[in-house]
Amino acid sequence: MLVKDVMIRDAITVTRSTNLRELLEIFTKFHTSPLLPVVDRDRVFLGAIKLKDVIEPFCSIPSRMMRTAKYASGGSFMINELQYINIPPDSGTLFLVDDLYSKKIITIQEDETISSAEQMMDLNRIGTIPVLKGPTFAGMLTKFDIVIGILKEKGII
Amino acid sequence: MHILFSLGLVLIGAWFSGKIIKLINLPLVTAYIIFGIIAGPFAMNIVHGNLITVSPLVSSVGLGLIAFNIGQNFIWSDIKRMGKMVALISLFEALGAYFMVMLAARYFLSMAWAPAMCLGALASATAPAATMMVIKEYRASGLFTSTLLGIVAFDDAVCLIIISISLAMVNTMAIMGAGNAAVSHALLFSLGSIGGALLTGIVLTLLIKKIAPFVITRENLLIFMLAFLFIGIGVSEMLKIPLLLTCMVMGAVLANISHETKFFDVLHEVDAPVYLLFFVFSGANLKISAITSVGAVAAVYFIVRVFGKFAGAYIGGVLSHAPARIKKYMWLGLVPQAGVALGAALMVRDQLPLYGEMIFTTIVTTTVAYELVGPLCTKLALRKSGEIS
Repeated sequence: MLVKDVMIRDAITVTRSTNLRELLEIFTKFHTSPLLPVVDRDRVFLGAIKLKDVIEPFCSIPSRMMRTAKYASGGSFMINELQYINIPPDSGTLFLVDDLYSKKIITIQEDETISSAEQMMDLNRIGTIPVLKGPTFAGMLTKFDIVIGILKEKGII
Repeated sequence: MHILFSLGLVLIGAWFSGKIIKLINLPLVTAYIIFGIIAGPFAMNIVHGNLITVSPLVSSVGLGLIAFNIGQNFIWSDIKRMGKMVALISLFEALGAYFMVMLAARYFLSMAWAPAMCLGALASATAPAATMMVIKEYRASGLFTSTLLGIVAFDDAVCLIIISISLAMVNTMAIMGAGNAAVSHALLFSLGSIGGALLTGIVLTLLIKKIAPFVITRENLLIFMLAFLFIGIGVSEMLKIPLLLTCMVMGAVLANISHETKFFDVLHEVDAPVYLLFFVFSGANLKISAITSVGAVAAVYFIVRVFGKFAGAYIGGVLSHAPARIKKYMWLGLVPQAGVALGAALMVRDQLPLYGEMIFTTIVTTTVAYELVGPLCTKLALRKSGEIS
């Protein structure tokens, strides 16, 4: 079974010009914290954005730096910091996805097998992978989709 | 006492002392070193003699991990973005401490060039953890804070290079058995060993990149990464090239050629006990009786290093046209020293038996002292610069 057989095709995407407020409104429609693909006009995949990317600019220490300083980290400092930091209300329109999104995203091609997709998820400890067809964004894949895909094939659903 | 029983006691004891020190908001490193001193063979003797014999191994692995992680911060695009100010201040504060301490040791304490150079090199190191803790705790933010963060992330790499070059020079001087006249020769030889470390690091990382696609489970990735780290450390020790530099180059090249963080993350899952033991053993290796004999050296080192950081950071600030508050107060954030200095001091102790013990004792005692005053200094710097609200 291939990735394209089980992936979500009508995934929600954002562009680089989406502003922070619009982005957060899309985020709140999800039940869990999502990873949103960022695409251009021709649906070429540019990167992705998640809640962490949005919060990072407002925190005093980048999370990547915290990881390299042993014994400095601890607890959910993000939430702790966010409670006290003054975020100007107009940040919602001032910040664009272009300022925040991450270009270094692990992706998978749509004609790969679902077992290699699962391996990739386990190896990198990630739950969601953007699926590409060449450079173009094709859909999103989560473990849930893989399991549902298999159950559908077995005729249970 | 069985060695593993003793190891278990050490892990629990260090964890518990960490809990206690958290109550008074001091860096964990301090707790581990002090616990090491108390539990060590020169005091309570919980750290069994046999355990001490494995400590060079632990410190090699600990140092390798520290350097590998520091390399991770060396991402080209980040360095370009941080800009001239961070780069210049980092470079000059490290060199400032290096030269000041070296010259003070040579002319004020009348040491030979080799130990003076070692002490100077160790003085260049700083420790980011305590600084970050304070920034986080007081939710500081602004230009001063972001510059300070950039510097503590960047200057470790600068220090590793300074330490590697100096130790290589001191080693070659020792091998050649000559004094001051051999400095130019020693420089040439050490450049060779630096080149060797760079090459080893690059070759190993390219191998990691080539083989990595065949490693498809998390467990195997851990085995694979540990294997390469050990090979990097082992090759460096066999070829007598600076292991700090080899491992840092491995981390830096890997972070730059691959955008997956899995290589680093998988090691983070297991490195906590190694670091803990690394610091406990540093304390346990301290001969308490030796502290009094290094009193003068430690006092000079303690003061001159800070002065060197001040002078260097100021010069770097002037050259990069930094605002006055950055020039004036940046040094206060650069006081702590921990992992890099301790590990390198352990290396010095093993490699240069003649004066290694004195240097090691100086570094352990001053590390504890710096870690105690470091957070206060950082807090003062942030307050003076007006970035604590």
